[in-house]
Amino acid sequence: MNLRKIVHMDMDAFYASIEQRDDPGLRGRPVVVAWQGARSVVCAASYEARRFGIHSAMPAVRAERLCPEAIFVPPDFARYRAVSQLVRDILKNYSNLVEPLSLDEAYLDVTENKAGLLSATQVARAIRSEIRGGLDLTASAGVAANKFLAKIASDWRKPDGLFVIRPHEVAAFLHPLPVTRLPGVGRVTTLRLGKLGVQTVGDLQRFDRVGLESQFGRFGLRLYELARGIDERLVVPNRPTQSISAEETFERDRHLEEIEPAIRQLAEKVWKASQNEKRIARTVILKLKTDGFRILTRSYTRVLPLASCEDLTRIALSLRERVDLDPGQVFRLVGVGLSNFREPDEIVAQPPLLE
Amino acid sequence: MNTIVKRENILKPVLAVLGVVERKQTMPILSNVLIKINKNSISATGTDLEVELVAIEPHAGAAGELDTTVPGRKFADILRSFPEGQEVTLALDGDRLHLKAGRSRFTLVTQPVDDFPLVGEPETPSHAHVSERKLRELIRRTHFSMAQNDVRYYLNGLRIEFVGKHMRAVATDGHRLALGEIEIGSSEGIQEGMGVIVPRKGVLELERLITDQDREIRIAFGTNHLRIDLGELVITSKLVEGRFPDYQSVIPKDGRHRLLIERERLKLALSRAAILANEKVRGVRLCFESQGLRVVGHNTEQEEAEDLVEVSYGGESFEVGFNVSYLLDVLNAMDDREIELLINDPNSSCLIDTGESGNYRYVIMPMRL
Repeated sequence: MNLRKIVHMDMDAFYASIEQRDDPGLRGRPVVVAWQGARSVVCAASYEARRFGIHSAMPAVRAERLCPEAIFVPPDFARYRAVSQLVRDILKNYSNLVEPLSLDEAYLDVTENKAGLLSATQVARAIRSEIRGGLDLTASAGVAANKFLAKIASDWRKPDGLFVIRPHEVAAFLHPLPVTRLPGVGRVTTLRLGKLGVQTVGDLQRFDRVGLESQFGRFGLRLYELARGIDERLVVPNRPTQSISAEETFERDRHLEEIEPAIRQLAEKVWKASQNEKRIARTVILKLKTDGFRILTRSYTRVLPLASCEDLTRIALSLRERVDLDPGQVFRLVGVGLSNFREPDEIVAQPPLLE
Repeated sequence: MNTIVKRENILKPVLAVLGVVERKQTMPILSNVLIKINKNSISATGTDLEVELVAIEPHAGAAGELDTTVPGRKFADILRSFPEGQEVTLALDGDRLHLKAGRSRFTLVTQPVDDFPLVGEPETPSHAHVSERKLRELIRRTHFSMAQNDVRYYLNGLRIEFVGKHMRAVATDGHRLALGEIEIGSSEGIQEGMGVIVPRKGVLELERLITDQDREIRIAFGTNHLRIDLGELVITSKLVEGRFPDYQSVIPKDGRHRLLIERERLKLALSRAAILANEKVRGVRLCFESQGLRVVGHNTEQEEAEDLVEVSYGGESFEVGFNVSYLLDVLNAMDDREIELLINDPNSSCLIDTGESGNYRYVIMPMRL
């Protein structure tokens, strides 16, 4: 593959920054975006709040304890989505290859850029100043030859920073990095790597491909490549929907049989959302989180695509039977999802004999 | 106290029940086999809580008695490792079972007999006698249409019901259906229309264990269990609760096109077309034309297979798509020289049987190709 130029744009404390921008009273103060409620979690925290150790996904109650003077703002996703669209419009001025990852993150392939700028670094600089000038928000940018490195780079000078990893710097840059910075390396892999004496990416580079593959299967090959800064994943604009899901955290923990109404509601919500997608889902996923924060998922894939909301509801409800925990187990969260979308004409239907 | 048995006399019943003894178990005792030895017989019992198997070796001539549970697979492997005709001495010492044979000694950890989950006798006396050979045929010719892991759990099993002097088996996965009937002999407490659903696991065990001996065997029905007594082997399966769907309405009573086809010939043509049928979809087209039945398979790479089967067909040309695996399953389950195909149109279910008098009927829903 020829040398590519990838930019990763990451808005700084996106939701919190929008709130601070729109309400001057919040500027310079610790702002936490979160729903009211005993069970809610932090959606975003301003940098002032982060200094107190608050970060997103933390229980709101805990954030309050860490910083009693923090200002709590309920999230307004409609507004965040609108701002996100404005950011995307800016990005599209520079490349047609824009892959949004979420409301506040996107990859751009600027190997050829629409603005006629000479380097990817100039593109990143131009985007940052346009976001600042046009939207009064700050973004951090990472520039490198692939997605993996660009993403690490955007985090390197956060907030309001720009960092470039040039091809000849890759090896030196990766060497001291802890393996936890590699995508896909979570708690379990870190532990397993630790047992092999691997703490840093440099340690990982000592292993050959066969060795890693025998230890980690297909992920071993990915580890081998990441350790060498190799990542061939393309920037895919308009990536088709992978899954549609909705979840609910309960006010108080519930038993499996008590969550039927919640599953019915979520299934309806998910089904409605899936109607905007012309492809048809084949897999239903039920997600549960125990009071001990253990997450379990059960899924069911049908030969035939799902035909109705009742279909989805029935399957989601029955997936509960495959939860083999103690009957006394209580859950704090339930989610219903659809995935495995297929084009309608891809499905050569075997109509049912009886439904 | 020592118990002395001949290797074969104890290995045989243990091996017979090992199929339901699972390797990894959440309940450790389920990997054990319950062994009962007395001067008349040796019996072994295994269970996975869905299917219970009791194998009895009569007149085993054991010296001494024994009543314990031992790890099934280890016990079988140990016995298997001895030469044929070897005498084995078993002695229980606390929770240990000492096993001696020639110069070899083994000690196994046992678990209390009282902890072993047994089904017990069915609560109701309803039972019927059928020929073992016929029952084997009934299961073999229908079970492949059962669903597997379907959320409609009542389809993951074989429906057994009584109609007149017949026992009927019905299996369907929602796309196809198999139905068969065998005569019953003497019976008690069996009422017209009475029926149960035997879970998939139980059906597969029955298919494996029932032989084609020409003898009468007894099937007993409890509220929650079905028990088949083969004398040397007693198979008890849990039943699936739930209502089996009304399948009668999907069996075509009449058809626009009725075709007689040589079974082997059609099977060959389908197997050929299947080679180039789409791996996932498995669709083939059956084209009925004046020169015969053309079977066509093709895949996404535009490769194509075609075979012609002679049938007398005088009507207008038409074609129907089918999942070739469904057709082959049916043709493999039948053993008649000629079969009858009853088709209405490409969107309605199709019936395969051997005419009015046949005991087996198969329904398949065509595919949209």
